[in-house]
Amino acid sequence: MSNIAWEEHARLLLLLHAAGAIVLVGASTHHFLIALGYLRGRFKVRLGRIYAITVAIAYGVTFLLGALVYPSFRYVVRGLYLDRYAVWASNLFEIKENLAVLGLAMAIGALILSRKMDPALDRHTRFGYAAFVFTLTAIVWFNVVSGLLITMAKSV
Amino acid sequence: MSVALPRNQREEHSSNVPVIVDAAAIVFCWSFAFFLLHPVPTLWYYPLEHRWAFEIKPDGLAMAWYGRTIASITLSLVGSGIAWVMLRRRPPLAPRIQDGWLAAMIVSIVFVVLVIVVTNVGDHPAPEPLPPWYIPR
Repeated sequence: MSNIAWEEHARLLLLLHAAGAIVLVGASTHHFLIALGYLRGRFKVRLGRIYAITVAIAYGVTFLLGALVYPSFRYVVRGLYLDRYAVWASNLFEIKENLAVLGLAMAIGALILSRKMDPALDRHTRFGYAAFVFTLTAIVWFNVVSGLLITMAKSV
Repeated sequence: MSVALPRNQREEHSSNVPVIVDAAAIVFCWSFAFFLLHPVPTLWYYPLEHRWAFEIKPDGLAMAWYGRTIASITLSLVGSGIAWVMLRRRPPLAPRIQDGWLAAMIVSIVFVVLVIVVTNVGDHPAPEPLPPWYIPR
């Protein structure tokens, strides 16, 4: 063992991280459909607000769990194995982690706009909200698929 | 001492919130891209040594992700704070100006995504030396 922070709990944290991602992929896809409806003139405002807060909480929890397991991953998985035998997975992971930070900003932005706007009246906010939600959903799907591919190569 | 705005002005104030959110997202995207592209002093975490260091280049296995994330979020909060101070007592901005902010935000998002992909695709990281206890699985 290498005495890295949270290493003894790394597998449990990764499992919870994956569970959070499952919630997130469902909630963000539904949120995407609600935002798409806003652009087409169908305004399910209450449902949009529910999905915005669900996505924001699920994203925050998943992000935090990922941040906790990251030191173990960085040394034991990436440093010792992926950088040596599967460089593509190392690079994919770096893209995934940086996109995750962007996704956090998108989740917060979508949450604030969902509480402040009336999509039927405010065209500008409707498009800004859709931009946040579409980007966030794309990041969530990309990161879930990337995470599966990386853990197929090597896991904690 | 701050004085509460009348109700109709509070509604106007809140109608500039989307522009403030756009400003925060723009600052976030550009600062994050800047930290990826330029070697500036950043907070690094050394996972094997359990320590943090504020430096440009690490001497050993270290992670810049935490420091980059904290710095970009902090700058984004500062940017949104400045925008809030500037816009809180103003009437809603003209639709063309609001659309300009929205377009700038979308361009910023596309830019930072491209920076994230380009700076990582084709990278050749150096593996860590194998410790005696390590058994490949």
